[in-house]
Amino acid sequence: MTAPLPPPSPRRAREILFPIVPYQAAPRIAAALADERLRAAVASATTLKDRTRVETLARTFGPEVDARREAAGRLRRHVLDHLDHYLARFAAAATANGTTVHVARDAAEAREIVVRIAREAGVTRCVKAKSMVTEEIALLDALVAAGVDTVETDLGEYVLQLADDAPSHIVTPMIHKSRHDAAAAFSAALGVEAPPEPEALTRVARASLREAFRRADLGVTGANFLVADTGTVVLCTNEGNGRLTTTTPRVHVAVAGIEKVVPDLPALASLLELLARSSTGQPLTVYTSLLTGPRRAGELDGPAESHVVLLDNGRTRILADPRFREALACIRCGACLNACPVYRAVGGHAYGSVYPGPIGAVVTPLLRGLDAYPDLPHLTTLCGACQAACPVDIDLPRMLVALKEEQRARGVVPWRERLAQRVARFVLGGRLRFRLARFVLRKVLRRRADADGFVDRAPSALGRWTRTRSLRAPAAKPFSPPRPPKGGADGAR
Amino acid sequence: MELADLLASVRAALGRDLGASTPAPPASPAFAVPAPVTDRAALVDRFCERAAAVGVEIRRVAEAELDATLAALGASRAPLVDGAAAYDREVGLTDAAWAIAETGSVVVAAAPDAPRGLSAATLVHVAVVREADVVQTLAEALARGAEGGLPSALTVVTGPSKTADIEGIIVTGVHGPGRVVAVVVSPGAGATRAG
Repeated sequence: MTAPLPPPSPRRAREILFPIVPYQAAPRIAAALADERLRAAVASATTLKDRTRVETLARTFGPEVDARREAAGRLRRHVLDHLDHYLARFAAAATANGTTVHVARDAAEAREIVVRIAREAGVTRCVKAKSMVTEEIALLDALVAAGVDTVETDLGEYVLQLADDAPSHIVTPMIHKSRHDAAAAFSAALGVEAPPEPEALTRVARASLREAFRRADLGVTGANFLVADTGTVVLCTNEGNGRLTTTTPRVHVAVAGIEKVVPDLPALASLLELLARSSTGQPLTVYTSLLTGPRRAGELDGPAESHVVLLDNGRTRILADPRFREALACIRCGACLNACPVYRAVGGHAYGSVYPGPIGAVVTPLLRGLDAYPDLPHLTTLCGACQAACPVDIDLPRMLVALKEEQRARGVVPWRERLAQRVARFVLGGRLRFRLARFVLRKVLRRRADADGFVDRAPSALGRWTRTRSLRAPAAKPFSPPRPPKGGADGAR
Repeated sequence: MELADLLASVRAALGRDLGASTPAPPASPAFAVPAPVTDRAALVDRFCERAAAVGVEIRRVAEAELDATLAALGASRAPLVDGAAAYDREVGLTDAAWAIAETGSVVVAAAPDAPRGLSAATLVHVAVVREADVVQTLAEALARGAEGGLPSALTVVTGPSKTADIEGIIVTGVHGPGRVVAVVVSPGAGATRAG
């Protein structure tokens, strides 16, 4: 498998998602932590979505919530374990429906395929629905470079395109931006002055994008699911841009990771029942579109040509590693981002990748290389909130630990961490050593504590830790479990 | 890259020999439908309640009142001359193939006399729902949709077009219809009831 190719253009948006590697997360984390407005926006949006998810699932499924999540996880893992079977089945069914199925080994080949389709069809104006996989392959820039006028039509993605910014959440891409940012983008790029109110701004986007939809001859989307049984592409959207993208243009191209396939319609229904509820707390997204081939004889709209590009781009490498295969079970609902204390604090751009949050911290090193993203497995508290929120029960904490173990096996653990581990091993290795270290640390930290009992500036190596947070001072009297009775009989209390 | 190469890569990743037979998939997980509804009237009531909860306007009418109701809504069965004409029409009228009680959704199927644009590009979408076509779950609606083969586009519509992209504040009518009206038609004669 070849290494990922560099993105085709140096726009700022691309630098956010395709930083120079090895990627250093610290500067972006520091910038995010210093940005009070960004932190407030991300924290309030994610907190609300997390609470809505929990309430909606409990109200709908009652005590069956976890059983549902686990069953959906088993279904997704089954598909991955038999992915060859389902991919072959999907390709055969889609072809029989009149869809042209293409296969891309990597991002460059996927871009080439879509550009070739555009050239052969003679299209010049493209409308694009929101899709993470097209961000992954930097498709927009490739289409523009090939002379195809391409517009993002999801409201958030449209604002980001006009502002040359990049998505920071896989469901709500402009979570890090405000109404004022949107108004400024419309003013600068469209010359339209609108009051900084969501309703008014949405009207501006609607008016501008309706013309784009009317005139477009190419529609590009991702796919939420591919149904093997029927050869169907499934799109879940709320705004309706996904529908117009597949209604007016005469050519439709759906780009889909190979892991998106599901066996049949009952399996699709069982996943759809969890997707929107986990994502936004809706029973279903406003539009769930099942697209099965191009328009048929006598139909007035819908694409005359429909294409699906199946993308590998590192996925078979993940599939081959039993430790990480389940990362491909993800249905991209964003629940793990909303639940994660790290994502909530630093937002999506700190991950330096198309896929942020806990799932991004796992799949980015797997897709683009662990050595290129050494910091990502460490953007975690290992609290387990991500797995508890996951509608397909992916064990993200286990995989984050496995990535750290992989780093240790490769010898890429930073010297500070290696030293800390050695010190910890020594100190924790003997009762006397431990008590002595505890005594010294307690004295030092208590002397530095403020009136509220917090240490704002810890000494020496701990100082780095207190640069961005406060440490609670140790209690006056240490907690010491009673020494086990001599002889150490099991169960003796 | 060819499909055969991809399948070979996938098989290699799975540690499986080329051409080895694939085990049949297990049956999809089956769960009890939450609080199953068997009574048709209760099912229709639930659809109306859940659809209203996601922002769909409900008009419950008898068959005899249907035409007058549609006329009052400005909904006409006049066919489109071409697909793009839907952008210029204020009200799009479609028949719902099915309606889903649990999620409050209407399901529309593309056909020569039912262009996609009528429920996607207009300001208002009026869907005629026959009480007999109300099913309880999404799975039932999809199963019925697949009988005789799926249409080129089957769309499950759950409320008006909406976004929360700007500061999480919900705005309706982004690209699709900002107003969705389900006209629920009971077969017998009867007085109009508000939904």
